Amino acid sequence: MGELEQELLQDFLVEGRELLENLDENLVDLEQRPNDEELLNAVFRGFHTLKGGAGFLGIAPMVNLCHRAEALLDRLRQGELRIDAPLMDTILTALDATKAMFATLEQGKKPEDPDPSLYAQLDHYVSAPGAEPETGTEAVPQAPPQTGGTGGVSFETLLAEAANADPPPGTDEAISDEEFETLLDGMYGPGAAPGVAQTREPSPVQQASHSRENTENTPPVPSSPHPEKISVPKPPTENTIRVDAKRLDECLNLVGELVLTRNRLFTLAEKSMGASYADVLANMDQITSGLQNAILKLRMQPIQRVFSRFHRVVRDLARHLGKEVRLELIGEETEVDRRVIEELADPLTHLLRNGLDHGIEPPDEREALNKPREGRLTLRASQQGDHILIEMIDDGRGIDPDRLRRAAVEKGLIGVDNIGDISDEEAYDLMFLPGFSTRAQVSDISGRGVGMDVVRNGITNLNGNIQVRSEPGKGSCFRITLPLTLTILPTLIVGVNGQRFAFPLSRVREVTRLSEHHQHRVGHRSTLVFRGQTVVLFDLRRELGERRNSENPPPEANPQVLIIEAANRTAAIFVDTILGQQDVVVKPLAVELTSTTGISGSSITGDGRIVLILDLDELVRSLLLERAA
Amino acid sequence: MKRQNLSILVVDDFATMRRIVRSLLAELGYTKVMEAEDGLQALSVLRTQPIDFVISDWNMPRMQGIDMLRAIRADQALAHIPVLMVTAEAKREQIVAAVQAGVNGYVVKPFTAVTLKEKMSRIFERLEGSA
Repeated sequence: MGELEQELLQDFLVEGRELLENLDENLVDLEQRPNDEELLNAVFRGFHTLKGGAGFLGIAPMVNLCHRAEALLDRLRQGELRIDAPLMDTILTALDATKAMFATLEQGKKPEDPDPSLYAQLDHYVSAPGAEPETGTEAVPQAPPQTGGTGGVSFETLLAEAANADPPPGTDEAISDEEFETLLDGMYGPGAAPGVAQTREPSPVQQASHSRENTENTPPVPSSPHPEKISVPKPPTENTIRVDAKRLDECLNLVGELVLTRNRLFTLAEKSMGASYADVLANMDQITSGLQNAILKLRMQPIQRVFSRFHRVVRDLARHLGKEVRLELIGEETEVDRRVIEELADPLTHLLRNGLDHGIEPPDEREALNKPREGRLTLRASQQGDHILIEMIDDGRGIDPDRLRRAAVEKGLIGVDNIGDISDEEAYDLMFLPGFSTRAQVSDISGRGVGMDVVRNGITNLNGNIQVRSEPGKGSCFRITLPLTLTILPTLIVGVNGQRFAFPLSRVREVTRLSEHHQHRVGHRSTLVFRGQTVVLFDLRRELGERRNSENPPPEANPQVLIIEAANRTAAIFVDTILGQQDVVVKPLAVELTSTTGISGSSITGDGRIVLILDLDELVRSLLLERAA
Repeated sequence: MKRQNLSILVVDDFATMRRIVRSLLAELGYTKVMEAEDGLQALSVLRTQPIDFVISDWNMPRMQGIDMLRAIRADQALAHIPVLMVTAEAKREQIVAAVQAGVNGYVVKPFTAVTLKEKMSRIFERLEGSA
C-alpha cells in the first residue's frame, strides 16, 4: 500500500470511528423513535458513507457488509419494513461487525468477511416480503433492453419512466452511459450541456473570456474575470486539526516544569528580590497560569465520549434481562481530562450494569409497586468548582443497608459483633470491599467476576471518590467526585525525618495534635479516638522515615496528627512537621521507583526540593496488612 | 486557460472522501481544489469564490446534492457551472432525476483517476459543443 493510501486509510479509520460511535447512539434512538425520518436518514447515510470510503480503499468485506445494512435501512426508508427489536439486533450486530473490521484495520491487518449467518440475517430482511407486495426485479422487465447501437432508448421512454411517480419495479436497474447521453441530448439538444442555455447572452466580460478560451481551444467553462488572480484559498471547513496526544503530553510536561520554575522564582523573590521585580513576577505568574490552563484545556474532552456508548449498553442489557429502561444523560458537554475519559468507561459501565441488573425491577413488579413500567437511569455530569461530579441515579428497588451488613458478616468481611457499630452510610461502603457480592451466585451481567471494589479502585486511581446513597423502594444514587485535572494536585506538604511528603489535600480531613485525643491500643494496633470514632494510628516517621534515614530525631512529645480518608476508612497519621498547603505538578515516577509501595509520583517544591506524593490508599492498605501479619 | 487551472469544488460530508477525490484530482493535475461539507456550504462557497467545476456527493446532511444542483441551476450567477455527481449506484430513477435537475455527469463510487478524467472530458466536450 502506498504512502498516500496508507494516510487515507488512517484518515478513514479516525473519521469512520466517529461515524460508528454516532451510529451506535442513533440506532438506539431510532428504536425509540422509529418514525423519525431524519434519524433514519442519518443512520442510512452513516453506513452509506462507510461503504463509499471502504470502496475507495478496497476493503471488500466492509463494502459487502455496509451495503447489506444500507439495503436493509433503505427498505425501512421506503416503509417496506418496520423496526422491531430483532431487526434492530441485526443492524446492531452488523454495526459491531463493522467495528471489529475497524479494529482489525487499526492493527494493520486485513479484515475478513463476518460470520455468514450475519449476511443471511441481513439478506433475510433485505429480501423479506415487505409491507407492499414484493416485486422481484425479473417479474416485470420495465426498461427495454438495448436494441443495439447507440441511443437504443429514446429520451421519451426514459422520461416517461421517471415520470411514473411511484417507481415501478426495474427502476433499480443501473443506467448505462449511452442512456445517460441520450437523456442529455433530449434535454439540451445533441451534444449540448445544461446550464449553458441560460447563459446564451453572456456579459461582455464573459464573452471576452469565452472567445479567448475558444481560440486557445480550451473548454468554455466560464471562470472568474481575473483567472490569473485565483489563489488557492484554504478549505473553509478545516478549523480543527488532529494532534497526536503524545505531543500534548509533551507540552503539558514542559508547562509543568515552567510552573515549578515559577514557584522557585517566587520563593527566591520573597527572600532577595526588590520590589521592582514584583510587577514583572506577577505578570509572569499570570501568563504561566494562563498557559497552563490553555494546555490543560487541550487535553479536555466532553464526557459525552464516554456517555454516548451507554445508550447501547443499556439497550442491549435491558433487552437481555427483559426490563424496560430509559437512560437519561445530562451534562454530556462537561469537559474532563482525556485520561479520565479513558479510565472512567469501565467503572461507569459496571455501575450502570449493576443498577440495571440489581436496581431496576422487572416491569410487572414495578407496575405492582405503582411505579411506571419503564425504569429510569440517569447519568449526570457537572463541574463543581475544581471538581467534576458524576451521578448515576436509578429509580429501582434501592439498597437495604441491613442486607449489606448481613452479607458482609456472612462473607467474613466484618465481625458479627461490629454489626451494630456500622451506620447506614458505612454499610453502603461495605459493597466496595473486595470479595463482596450480595448475590449468592455471581450474575453473568454485572458480576463478571469483578466486584464493586474494582469500581472504587478505578475511581481512586483518578484521585476521585465514590459515595452511595439509597432509599429502599425508591432507588439509589452513586456520586463520583473527580478532580478536574490529574496533573495538578492540591496537597499538604509534611516533613518526616527530613524528607518531604505530599498528602493529597482531598484526603486530609483535619490536622490536630496527638495530645488532644485519647490513645489506646486495640490488640496490636495503636488507635486514637477522633470525634468518638476509634481510628487506627500510624507513625509515618517509623513507616517511611527510617527506611531512608536511620538518624531519627528524637520524637516530639506532642506531634502533629493528620486525620485522613484512605482505603475506605478513617486513619490517623502522625508526622514531624507540617509545611503547608501547595499545588504540586504531578510527575510520574522514574521506572525504578514505580514499584515503591505508597508513593504515586513526585514533584519539586518552590525551593527546589523533591517531594514524594503519597498514594494513601495503597499506603494504609499495606500498613494494615503488615500489622495483621 | 488550461483545464488544470480550473478551480474545482469538492462537496462531501465525509472529510476522508473529500481527500480521496482531491488526491485523484491531483493525479490528473488539478491543484486548485476547494472543499465544502454539504450543499448549503457549497452554495455559500460558490457565491463568494470563483469556482469553475463542482464534484458533489449525492447523500449529505442539511442539503442533499440534488437540491444543491437545483439551487445552482436556479441561480443566474451560478447556472453555468458544470456539476458532476458522485453516486453509489447508477440507479435509473436517480440519474433521470439528476438529469432533470441539470446534472452534467455522474460517476459511480468507487472510481479511479482514469474514470474521473473520462467523465470530466465528456462534460467538457458537451460544453464546447454547446458554446
